[in-house]
Amino acid sequence: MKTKKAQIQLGFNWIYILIAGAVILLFFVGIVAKQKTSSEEKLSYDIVGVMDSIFTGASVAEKTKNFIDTSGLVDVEFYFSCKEGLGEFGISGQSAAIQNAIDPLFSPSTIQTAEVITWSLPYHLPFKVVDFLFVTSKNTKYYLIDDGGPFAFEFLNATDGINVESVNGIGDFKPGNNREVRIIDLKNIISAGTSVPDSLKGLGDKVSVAQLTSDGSVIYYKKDSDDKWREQGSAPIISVDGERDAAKYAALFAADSEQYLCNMRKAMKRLTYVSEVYSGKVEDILAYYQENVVSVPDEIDRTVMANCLAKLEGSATSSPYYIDRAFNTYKQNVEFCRLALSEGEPSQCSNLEEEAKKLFDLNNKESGLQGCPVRFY
Amino acid sequence: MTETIAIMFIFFVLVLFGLLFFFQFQKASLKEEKQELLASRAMDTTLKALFMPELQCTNGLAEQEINCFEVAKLNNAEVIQDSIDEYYFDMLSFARITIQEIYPDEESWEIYDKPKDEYTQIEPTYFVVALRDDLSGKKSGFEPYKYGYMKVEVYS
Repeated sequence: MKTKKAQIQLGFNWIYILIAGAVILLFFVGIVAKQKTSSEEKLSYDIVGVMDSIFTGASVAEKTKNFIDTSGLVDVEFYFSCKEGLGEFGISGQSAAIQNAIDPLFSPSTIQTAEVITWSLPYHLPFKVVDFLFVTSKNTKYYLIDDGGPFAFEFLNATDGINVESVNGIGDFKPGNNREVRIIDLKNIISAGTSVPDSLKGLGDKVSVAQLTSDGSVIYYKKDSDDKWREQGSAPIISVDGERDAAKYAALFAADSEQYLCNMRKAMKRLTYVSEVYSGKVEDILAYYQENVVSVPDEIDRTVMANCLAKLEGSATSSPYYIDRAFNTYKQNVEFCRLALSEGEPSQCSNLEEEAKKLFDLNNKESGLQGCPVRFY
Repeated sequence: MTETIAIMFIFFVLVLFGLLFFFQFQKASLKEEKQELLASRAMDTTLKALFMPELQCTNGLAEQEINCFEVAKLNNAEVIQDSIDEYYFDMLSFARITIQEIYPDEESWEIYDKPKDEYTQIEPTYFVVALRDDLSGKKSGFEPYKYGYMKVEVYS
């Protein structure tokens, strides 16, 4: 009896040891699994944080391209979005993301690459408002359908180092290993309903078109399920033209009209504050000329001061002078354009372009302050 | 039976000690990371302040002069302080930005001040800048450029 009892007890001991051992093992496996998830999440936050610092540095380095080696992150897909004036970028499938309501950033919707390319251009309207940051990658291909015009030549020179190729027509596309293709149509060949070239059909939704129109707008096309081009949206390009027009380049680098207009909304918001600073500066400049036109000892200098003051005052003999009225009209149009963009009516910004051009002429042309000792920007 | 319980007890005590050491290590590691993040934020805020169009010198046709602030813009930069909560806080966070002229005069401008309640640390960053005063050059006969520095203090 005692032997039988001892044998049963021995068996129970082993079962007890097995259960206890399994529980302890599960406990440690649970800790390891939790720690692994936590580490991956922390790593993704670190990556996003570092990229944010890189973008901050890149955006202030005007007219400079940065080539960032991300070969250790080829499995990571970054996403860029902008809605209602709030931009966001992060890692697809992870909670790590950074939101930014201040800095305009134009890029494809997603980037997964061994080399990220950043490029910054200052946006002028007509004075500098903010730096536009363009983010692209080594495996995003830009095909420029060359119309032989000056902008095509300028674009090809300006985008040296970026994966850009000039083509004559829509039959010349060879995407190769590129992940995404953007066609920049300067000849207005592409229209809604026309067929997507066979060589691009395999890219799915990673092929798009940005078409610059003669009336200063951009139209975006995407490939639909029938392998035909479908118009995705359009937007006016709000700028004073000139070389390296940041708004025009932004339209070509932006993923779609939604991203473009969302970031332009950020620029307009910034302009409301920048224009306030210039408004005060203009008053100081007016006072400067009014004082110096009588106090400067040299007669030639007094003549120069008088001519410059006349440009600012216009025909008015007392406040509000021409420059006051011009600036107030400009600020009103900035606010109007900002509200129009927030309500999805970007076409209402055309008056702002005209007022900006007037200020540009006043500051830079011979009929304005060219040759004057102090200009307002 | 008693021996088994004793062994289990000792085992879990050892596990507890291991966890305690691990959490202490995590605490020290987090403190170090907090310092790094503060330094990174200080650098980002300094960069953003240095290149603000609201302050930066322009040279006709809107070309920017780097490391240069216009005195006329500094004198009219109260819009930055007035709009902290609605706009500039998202850009500059908890910080204080002052521009101090060193030569020839000693004028100063506080263009941004958003202190943090119950802050534990302030990280100051200094940057030498030129101050261009176009509106005084002709009168006084001096060149319009002055000399100064920007001080950016980030709160933690």
